[in-house]
Amino acid sequence: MTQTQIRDGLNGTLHDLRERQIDMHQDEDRQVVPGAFFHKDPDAEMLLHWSSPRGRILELQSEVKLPGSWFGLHLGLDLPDLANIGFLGFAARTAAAQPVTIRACIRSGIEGGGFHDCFFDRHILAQPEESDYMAMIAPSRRPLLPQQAPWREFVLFLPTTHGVHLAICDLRFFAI
Amino acid sequence: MANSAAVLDLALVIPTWNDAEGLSRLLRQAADMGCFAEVIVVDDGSDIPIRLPTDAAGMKLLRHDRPRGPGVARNNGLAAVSAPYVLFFDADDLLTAELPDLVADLADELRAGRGFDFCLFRHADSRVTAEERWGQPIWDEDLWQQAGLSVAILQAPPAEVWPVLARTANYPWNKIYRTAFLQDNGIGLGETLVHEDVVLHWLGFLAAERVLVSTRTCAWHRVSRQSGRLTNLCGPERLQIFTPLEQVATAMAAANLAWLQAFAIFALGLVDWNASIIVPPLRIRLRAREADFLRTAMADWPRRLESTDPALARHLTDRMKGVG
Repeated sequence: MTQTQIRDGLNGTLHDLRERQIDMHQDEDRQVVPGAFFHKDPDAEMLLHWSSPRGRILELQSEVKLPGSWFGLHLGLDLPDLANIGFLGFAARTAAAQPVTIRACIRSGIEGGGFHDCFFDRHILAQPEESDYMAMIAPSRRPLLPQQAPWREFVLFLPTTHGVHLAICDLRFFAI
Repeated sequence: MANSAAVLDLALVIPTWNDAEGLSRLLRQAADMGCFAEVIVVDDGSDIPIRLPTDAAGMKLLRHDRPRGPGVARNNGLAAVSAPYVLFFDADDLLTAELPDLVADLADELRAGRGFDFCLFRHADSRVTAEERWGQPIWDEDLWQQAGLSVAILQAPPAEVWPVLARTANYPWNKIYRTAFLQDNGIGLGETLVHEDVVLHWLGFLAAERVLVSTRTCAWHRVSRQSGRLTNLCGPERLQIFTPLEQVATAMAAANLAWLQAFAIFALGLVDWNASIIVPPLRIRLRAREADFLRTAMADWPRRLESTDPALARHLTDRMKGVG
């Protein structure tokens, strides 16, 4: 795959979100656009409102009625083969009404079922003032990260014990 | 406040004085963005008269024979606006890439039948950029946060939080105004050389029926210590500060306590800032004028504020006596 093909494969869904304008959606709409969806612990009770403003990725507001174990925004990555990729990462611009930490990982599907999560080292700290963040992993230094995977996702794990009002102003992946 | 327009026809009004280079840069930027229905340049008596580019379609040039200050220039520009919405801008500042998206957001509001009197948007400041960050100075960000407006791309905050927002920097160029709102309410810029924007800012908030706030950063404000800039004046013109303050304080007579509190904090802070930059020999005169201003324009404010903010009430009383 060429660098351009890799970049486009990683960023297609984000490009779609950035270009489209989607008005506020309610809790039942879990799919944002094809390749992007929210997923929560089925035991949790949450209200979720989200929109995709013009030129931005997402704005979301959650209200937790019953805490759960996980709640994430999943973005599909067209990246089955990590061979020849020295660094895989992302840059994000976020803002939040109250400071909140978010963890990010690359989830790789495993043949026969299941998946493996490879977490980026640092948390994203979203705060009222818009701030930029960048993180990367070196696949060769992550022996447990499968080089080949039938599917991959980028997952942003959001708070499960309290509500959040968060803007993901921009998000872009890179693989070099 | 009826708005039936499906698009946002926006005028850009730019006062300029001896800054052909900055103006040229801004006009190029505005043309590239393609979101202005008209551009009005007001040459405030530049030594070498401003000339517009030869391909200046949709641009209008007004000229003062002698410098009359940015307030008069903006007012004359406003009088020449035919578009239903207007953005005032300074020639040495820059628009940012998010402005066309904001204009489109506002057009959506109109299309949905939700008119507005003005929209306040975020700005970036060169002092923040110098710290290798992007955005507004922390004192404005804190107020946005206090008002709960840090995240949503566009919202109409309840009137209860407007006094908080009014305490943000009183710039004219971080708002898109409805032209008829300003004209119908007789709101314009003050005609003093400095702080001419105080009147537009505060009277705008006081008269508005619907205010929008956008977290899009649409202007980059350049703060420069360069001589010749009005912000850097530190002589007797600084004593003119009380003209716009009196005008707003008078308009506040019937306002509720939240407005009195907000404006009192703002006014005392603004006088302090002027005291910090005015030449030392004029500092005593500035403080004497402040005491006069407070005793005449805000005489009963300490009594009215006593129950909600006793510390501020005491502070006002002290400053009326020329102490504190």
